Amino acid sequence: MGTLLQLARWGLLGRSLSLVQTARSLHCGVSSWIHVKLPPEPKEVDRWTEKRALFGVYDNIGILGDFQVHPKDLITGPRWLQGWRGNELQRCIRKKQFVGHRMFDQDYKNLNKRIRFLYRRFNRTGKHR
Amino acid sequence: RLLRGGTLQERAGSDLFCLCLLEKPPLVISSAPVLRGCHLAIPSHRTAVQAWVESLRHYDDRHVGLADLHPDVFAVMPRVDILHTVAVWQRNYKRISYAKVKTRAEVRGGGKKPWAQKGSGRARHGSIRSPLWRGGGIIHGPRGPTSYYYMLPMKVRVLGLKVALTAKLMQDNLHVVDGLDMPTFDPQYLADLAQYRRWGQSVLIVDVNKMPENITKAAASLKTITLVPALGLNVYSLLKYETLVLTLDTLAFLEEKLLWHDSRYTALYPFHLPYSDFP
Repeated sequence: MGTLLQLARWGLLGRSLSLVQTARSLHCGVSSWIHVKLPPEPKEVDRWTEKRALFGVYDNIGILGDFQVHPKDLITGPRWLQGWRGNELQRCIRKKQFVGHRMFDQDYKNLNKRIRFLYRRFNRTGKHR
Repeated sequence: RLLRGGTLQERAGSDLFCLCLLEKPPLVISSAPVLRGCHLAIPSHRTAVQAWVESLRHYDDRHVGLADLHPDVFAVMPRVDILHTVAVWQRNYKRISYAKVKTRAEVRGGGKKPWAQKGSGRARHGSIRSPLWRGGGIIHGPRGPTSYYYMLPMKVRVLGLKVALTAKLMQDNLHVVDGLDMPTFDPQYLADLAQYRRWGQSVLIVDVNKMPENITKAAASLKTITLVPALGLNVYSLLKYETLVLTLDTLAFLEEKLLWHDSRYTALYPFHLPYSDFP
């Protein structure tokens, strides 16, 4: 690294020199080399990718933007889970309500079995029923 | 390249910045300082906090004027616990974990009793997919896509923003800029300006209006300098980026939006539905 400005650019970009892991060998005695395994090197994580740099942006869009958009509208994922939280039985029931009509046959049967099992487990066994 | 007294000097990249450094700073056209007062009423027992107004037009334009900032937004109690609460909320509320394992009912096979109950000498089993078996189902594993959604009260989120802005101001990491006009679209100019003014490793630039092309082009190729519209301001980003740069219009916008919650009535119905007295 030559000049001060280049050094600063290096620092601004957050780069680091990578060290090459070399396996060591100890020589003890005449003919035996012991291979010493070193712990794995920490993987280099770029903290400034686009996703990481812009994480959390628009989370306050409701407060700062006249409440037309709610932060739960930003969540991407299965439609029966967007902006909603529940335990396993509630999630299974909600999944059946939202997408049960278009699930594959075996998956739908497994879902029904699971709902039946969890209903009995939560409402008929244990201390809290 | 820079031609000076007959010798040719090659400088990779930063020619324009070099030029700015070596020439005299241009004459300031209007010598009147930019003074920004607080538009909203300040309580009588408090006074406004102040910040220098800077400019991006020249690398050393650091004292263009003075801005008054509302103390109930930029000088609140430093509640680190609220910062933590809001940052954790931002991390988790949109988290959906897709981990799922099959239970003994879902694993393929295992309907038949592998051997008779008595007589074979082996342990008794009812199915080859019970959790005791290799390849069998998992009992209490992660089940299906799970959502970790929850909402903090609106006033807590608002207070989190206020505390974060206060922390940035009090730790000398907040800079007010009169506008985002840049002389060039060279990303090197922006990076060198940030380094000269000791802004830190990462800069978050926030503006309400549409951003001029020069700064958009310059920040597009820089990793740690980000442009964000005012709607996108949030506690997590304020904690991630070392420096915050606000324009004067953004100050007014933020003060108006954040102070309204101090003296509003509680919501009888959600705010996205029309209210007669609140636009």
